[in-house]
Amino acid sequence: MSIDLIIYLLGGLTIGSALMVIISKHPVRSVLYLILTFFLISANYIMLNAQFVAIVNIIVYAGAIMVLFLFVLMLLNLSKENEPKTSLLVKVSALISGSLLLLVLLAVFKDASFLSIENEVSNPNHGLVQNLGKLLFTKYVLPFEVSSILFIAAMVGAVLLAKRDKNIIE
Amino acid sequence: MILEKLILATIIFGISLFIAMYATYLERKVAAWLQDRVGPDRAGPYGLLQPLADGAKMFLKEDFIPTNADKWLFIMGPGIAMFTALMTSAIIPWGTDLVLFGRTIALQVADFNIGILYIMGVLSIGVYGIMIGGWASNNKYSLFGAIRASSQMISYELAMGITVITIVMMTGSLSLRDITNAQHGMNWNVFYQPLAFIVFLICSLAELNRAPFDMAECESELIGGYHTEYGSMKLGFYLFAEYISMFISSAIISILFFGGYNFPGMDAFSGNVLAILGVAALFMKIVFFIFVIMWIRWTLPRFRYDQLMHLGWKSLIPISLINMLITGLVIAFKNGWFNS
Amino acid sequence: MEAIIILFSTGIVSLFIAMTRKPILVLLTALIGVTVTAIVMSINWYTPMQWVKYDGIETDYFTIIYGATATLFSFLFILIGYSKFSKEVYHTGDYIAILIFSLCGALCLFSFTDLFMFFIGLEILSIPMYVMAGSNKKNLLSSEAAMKYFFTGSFATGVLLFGIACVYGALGTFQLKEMSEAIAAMKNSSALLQVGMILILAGFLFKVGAVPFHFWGPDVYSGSPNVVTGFMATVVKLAAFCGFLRLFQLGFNGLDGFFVEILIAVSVLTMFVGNLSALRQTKLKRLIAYSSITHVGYALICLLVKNEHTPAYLWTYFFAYGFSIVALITVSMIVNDENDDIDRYKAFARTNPFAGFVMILALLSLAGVPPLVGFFGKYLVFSSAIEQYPVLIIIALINSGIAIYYYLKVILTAISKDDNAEKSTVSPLHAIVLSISMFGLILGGFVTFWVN
Repeated sequence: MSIDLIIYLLGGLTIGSALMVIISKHPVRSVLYLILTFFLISANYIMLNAQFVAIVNIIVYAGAIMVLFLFVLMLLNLSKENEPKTSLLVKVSALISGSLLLLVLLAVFKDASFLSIENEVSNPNHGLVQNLGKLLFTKYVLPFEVSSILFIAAMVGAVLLAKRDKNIIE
Repeated sequence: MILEKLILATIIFGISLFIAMYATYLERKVAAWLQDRVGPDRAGPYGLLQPLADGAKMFLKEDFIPTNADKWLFIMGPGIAMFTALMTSAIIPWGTDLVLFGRTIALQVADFNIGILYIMGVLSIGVYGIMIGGWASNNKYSLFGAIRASSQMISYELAMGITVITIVMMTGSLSLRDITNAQHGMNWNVFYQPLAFIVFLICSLAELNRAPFDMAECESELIGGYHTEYGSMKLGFYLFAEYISMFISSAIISILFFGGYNFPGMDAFSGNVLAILGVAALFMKIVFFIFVIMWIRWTLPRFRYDQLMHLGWKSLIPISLINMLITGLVIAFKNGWFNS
Repeated sequence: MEAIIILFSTGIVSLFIAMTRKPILVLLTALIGVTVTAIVMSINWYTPMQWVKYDGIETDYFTIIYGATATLFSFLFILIGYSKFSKEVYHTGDYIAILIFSLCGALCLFSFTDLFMFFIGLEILSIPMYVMAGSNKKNLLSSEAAMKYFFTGSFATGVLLFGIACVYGALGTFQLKEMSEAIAAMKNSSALLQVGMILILAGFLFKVGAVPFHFWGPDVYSGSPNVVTGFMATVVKLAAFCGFLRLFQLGFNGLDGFFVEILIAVSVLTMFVGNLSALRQTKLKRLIAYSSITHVGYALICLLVKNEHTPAYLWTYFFAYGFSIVALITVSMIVNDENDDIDRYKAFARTNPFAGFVMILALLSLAGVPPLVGFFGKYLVFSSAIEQYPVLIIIALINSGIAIYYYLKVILTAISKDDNAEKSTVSPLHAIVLSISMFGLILGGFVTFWVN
């Protein structure tokens, strides 16, 4: 029972801090809430016995990507004043369509019968690095290796876009 | 059980603070020694009470927040720095099991099976303390310091992670306890991975923002860097966090490369004696590495920023990658290539 | 699979060869690599190779046909773009390698059998395109295109992933075969599965630029460098259509019909919005963008009629469409106008008879005039659906009629008289590409008969 309570509490906190990401006026605060959200998501992973995914989530998202986000925001120094104005019509229509989507999803998830994967989750060893590594290098070796194409394309792209050319002075 | 862990955690907390406190004293003494001075000698015999005097001064100073600073973040910054610095000590195995009052007590607060990744994770959030503090101060020098610090930490984390992978490959486990036990006696990793050790040491210095990588707070350019606007105990927290991190990094270097609580001739002892000797050995190694870090600080001049980035990206990362590749090949060779 | 490995190595090798700062070497490497890929794929047709065994990829005949088509178009676009790529010696290798990596993603989408490979393939296809859209760094519009494409695209990816998660929650597997078995075994349809499928459908409609999700299209197409526009309109669309067709046919096979209404509505809307917007365009690339939206509307009909011939019809359609785009993009590279106004093509057919001829052929083929390959594409698609959805086909025919108006407008501009018009120089590479696409446009119809 207490584990259920913890799970609900964590879920509520996660949703709350994710909401704060959107509600916060100041971009830097939004990013800080997003970092908090990542931590809470990691906590959820730990509750599912996926320690490796949890810690990698922290290292990669909270530790590296969000630092770059903060970096850019701090250098741009965005504030409330120069935020672009959105018209009321856009806001209202966004609200209506968003709420409709939420309604549909809630209705679906309320009665959804998720396939039970309890056995796997309750096995404390299934999130270990060894098991993950074995799966990644045997059963799922192809997607694992093919994703290297994705990463190299992204890296080449980043260099291509970010490198300052000598002949462009602007 | 929980009580035991709690007591252990409190003791470790106390020891970390104590060591960090006396590290400041040690730093000033080492600096004085290297510069042929006397150093602090007024408070108590040999100036031994100096850290207490410093602490009292920090507490009694006026606690102010700049007008244009972001108040909450300004307070949060040093807090996060201190918190992350203290969090790492939870998974360090201090010694072999101790038997007290008929109970076996593991000298480790928590033995995660992903221990080493936990350290990398905590290290990677360590940036936020500096970044938030630097940005919230609303001062361009602080911002510069914060940005330098964070880009430096991210860059050096990569090489650090890769060297850690080589160690993990050799041990086959991410748990710090297993890594330590694999280095029984004098079978230390540093003899197999000298290159990884050097890269790791350099990266630790960079992660600690210590000279010669203290771009984040170089006095001559940025006044005080990210803590320019800080005073009183908030500044104290930042400085203290740095010394605690120094203690923890020394501990991690000792565990990963110098056998942790293992020492030559440890087979002659057993039980509590072994545990206590192990803890002593670990602490001797830690103090030695703290000394080395200070020694480096007072010997080498500071890097220029572009040199620092060149060193990180163009030297250390390729070196550690090649080192990892060779390690992998050797391991595969020893295991009979791909037969296992 | 072998083809993907060869292509990937080609990309890497051309990146390294680019360090010599000799663009021509990079071009040769890339062309050789792409040709070898095509040869390997055609060998696969007769004797399937089994170097790498993994149940996430399966090569069938359609994989090979689609793969060969995408490879051919990429080959042509690398040739077309070479004149632009070689100007920036430092980046030639990057451009060519990124296009090749994107082609790798397309090949994954032609052959996947589980959702891992599907998603990774889709990402490998898209991410290089986000980069290439912004590769003209001197032009602000190009950067804008890249930003728009990236933001909207990553949002669509998020929606798609959420859909995949829902489907996984309902079916408990990522394998297409097991998915369709699980659907067949289900007693009453699950709302979770349906929501997941709708979300996946939304992601798909975004990727191909169908109407409620088409807003990124014109801006991205007109802002990106010409070659990239062409690549997006042909290879990316072909791959996205094929990928989702595979997913819907193999994975959701047992669940016909519940989003037919959505698809019909989207198809009709897409045709009308694309066509009516295209009427008022004054820039060639925006025109291409809107006309490509219209063509997506036609191609969506394929997804409505799912039988064993559908992949062939879809292939024919995009095969025909691709040659037109190749020709039009080559012409726009020859004219090389920053503003890309259609007026700039005044008297183009008179000053450059050959290029002008191919351009007119391409436009006629887009309009679907009988002897050209575009006609066969349209004919096959429309005739396959005429019995099931007669009203839809009538609407599609009306739209084809509207489309002729703006294609003719461009043709008339191209053949009109203008004494001040100067002759544009046609580089040998462009001439080669133009002749290839001319053959494709005229003789492509026979190829499609052979394939069918």
